[in-house]
Amino acid sequence: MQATTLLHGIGLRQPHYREFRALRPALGFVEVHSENFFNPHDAAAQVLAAVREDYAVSLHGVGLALGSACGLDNEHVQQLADLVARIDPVRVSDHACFARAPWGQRGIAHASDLLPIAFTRASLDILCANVGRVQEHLKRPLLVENLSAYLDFSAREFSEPQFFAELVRRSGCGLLLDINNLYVNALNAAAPDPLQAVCAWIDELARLAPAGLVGEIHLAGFSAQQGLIIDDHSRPVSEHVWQAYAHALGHFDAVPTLIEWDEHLPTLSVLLGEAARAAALCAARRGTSTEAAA
Amino acid sequence: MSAPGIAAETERQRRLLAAIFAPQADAAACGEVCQDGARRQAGLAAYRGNGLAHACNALRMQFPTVLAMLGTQAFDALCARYWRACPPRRGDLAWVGEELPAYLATVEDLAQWPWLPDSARLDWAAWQTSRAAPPRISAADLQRLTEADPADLTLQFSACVGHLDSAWPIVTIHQAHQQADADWAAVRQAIAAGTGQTACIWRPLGDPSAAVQIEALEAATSRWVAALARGANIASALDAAGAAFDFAAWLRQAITQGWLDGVVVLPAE
Amino acid sequence: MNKRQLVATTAASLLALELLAYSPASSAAAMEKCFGIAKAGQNDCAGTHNCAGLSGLHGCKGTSKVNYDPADFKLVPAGTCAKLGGLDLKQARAMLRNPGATKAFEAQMRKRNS
Repeated sequence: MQATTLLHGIGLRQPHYREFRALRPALGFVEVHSENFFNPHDAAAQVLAAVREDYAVSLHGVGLALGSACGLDNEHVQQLADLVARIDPVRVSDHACFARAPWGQRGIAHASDLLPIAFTRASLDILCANVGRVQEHLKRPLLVENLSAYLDFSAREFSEPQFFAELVRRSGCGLLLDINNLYVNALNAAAPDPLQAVCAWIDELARLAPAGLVGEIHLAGFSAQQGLIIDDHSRPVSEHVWQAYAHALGHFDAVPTLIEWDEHLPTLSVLLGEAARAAALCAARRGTSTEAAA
Repeated sequence: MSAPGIAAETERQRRLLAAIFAPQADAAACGEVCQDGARRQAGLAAYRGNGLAHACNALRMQFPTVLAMLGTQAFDALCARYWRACPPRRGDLAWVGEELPAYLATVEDLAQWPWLPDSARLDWAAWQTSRAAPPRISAADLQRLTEADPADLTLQFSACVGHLDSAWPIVTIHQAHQQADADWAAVRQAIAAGTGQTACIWRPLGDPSAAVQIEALEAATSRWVAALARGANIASALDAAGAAFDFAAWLRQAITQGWLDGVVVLPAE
Repeated sequence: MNKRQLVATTAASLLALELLAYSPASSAAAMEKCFGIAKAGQNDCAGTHNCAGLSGLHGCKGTSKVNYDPADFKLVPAGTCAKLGGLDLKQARAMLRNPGATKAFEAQMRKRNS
């Protein structure tokens, strides 16, 4: 594997595995959802350990709920720390969202989803404290991802790029920049020129935050559902998102990039083709040649 | 951090979460958001659909027998009611089904099928057992059995095995769901006869992908297991089991299958 | 043979067989089971719990089932419940439950992996 030179990765999905194993495509990394591998004793744990022998693994969490005002679930943090110790991942990430909140006599409820946080000072304090705690526990920096949000709180003391720039400055974490999420948000906000809105968002972030803050980029497809654009990772990356990606590379240089595809899975070769397109854009940015994925 | 600021964020988040788990998506209840009207309803519906779909997906994996008994539509409806009545406490969906068996017992619509809660318990035990840590027993434990008085010792079960005592023929019901040509008339008969069963659920060692095994214990073994589960010493558990119990055969199976974590010396009375 | 002899001799014979060397789990077998028979779009792990992590308990995508609220329907089982034959309500309520056993079981399950 040329893990040092290749930057593009894919999510490993069960229907692709046999072909994946036969093909052994050249990839910078493979990404999995951390919570699916919390149990060290089941078959999934065995498979991830075997994959780790050949590939760098990026652990992408969905359940920490880093923006929850009621705090983190200590057991969840510990299970993540144990998984990190077992797998030695190349990156560890989760989202700038909340999911946990007080729930009467049951104590806490967890929404099993990525719920929006307010871009306020208090919310930033909460997120910074929680990110700090996890980083201290894992003894490594986290990457925090921007959401596709279907509702936005009206209370707002920062723009979203300002909020993330402050988060990075104060907590020392990096960003996982999901460009499809930015585009979905622009569409759902009925932005007159959604591509321009995404590029402006990226420009503002680049102006405010230190170079090198973006540790990974996510690209995906979306679909329209009953009055909303839903980030369901069900389709190829849209042309506008590719253009916004090229724009982001102009600011942040070549960055490890994941193609997320979870619904209506294509063949492995289609998925690798998307990853190869990301790799080619990175290579063009670097002005170097690279071997595209098989 | 400012305490009033934190309190305001806590309340903001609590309100949105409550709106998501509410029986009807109440657009007014979700707090101050930028969107209004149909767009707000759509946003709320997206979050409700997401969380519920994640929970349903996990519950289908955790309760295959209950799913087969109810069919997809009724099972999804059950999931939706359960998700609202018992919102998940943890972010790890592997635990989302923890309270489903107890919740099932409260569902009036399903009262005609009173074994459903125990069938759900059996599914949950199989799910948990499939994720169990390996047994911790060592040669020193067996050595203890050869030296000490069985009245001073007890056996500790490992997480690789579970026992479920039911007033219903839950193993017979479960097995019928594993077969293509099950004899449903015989299962109906067992239910009508009101014969209870004790299920033994265990995880085969060595191959983590092997299916969990489920079998019905005969009466003597069932008494033996129940006594040990109560913390009885080996001598009195043997008394409880009675003469029909084959200790040698059972211990051999327990050791080969990894059912034990240890042999423990009981504190002197 | 008294109890002490029975227990001691059984344990001694098992010690002699050296059955305690539990072989480490094989990842090759796990991979065959979890991935080997997959067809595109088909979740072959449905039958075995053990591959649940791989077939994706967790994800960060949105669902396409946006207006998805089946909770209001009356629960009318359409699966094997019909084959099992429901009891009439009176009969069902008359059947004794076993709350003690249920409680003990749930305590045992809670201890696991937590």
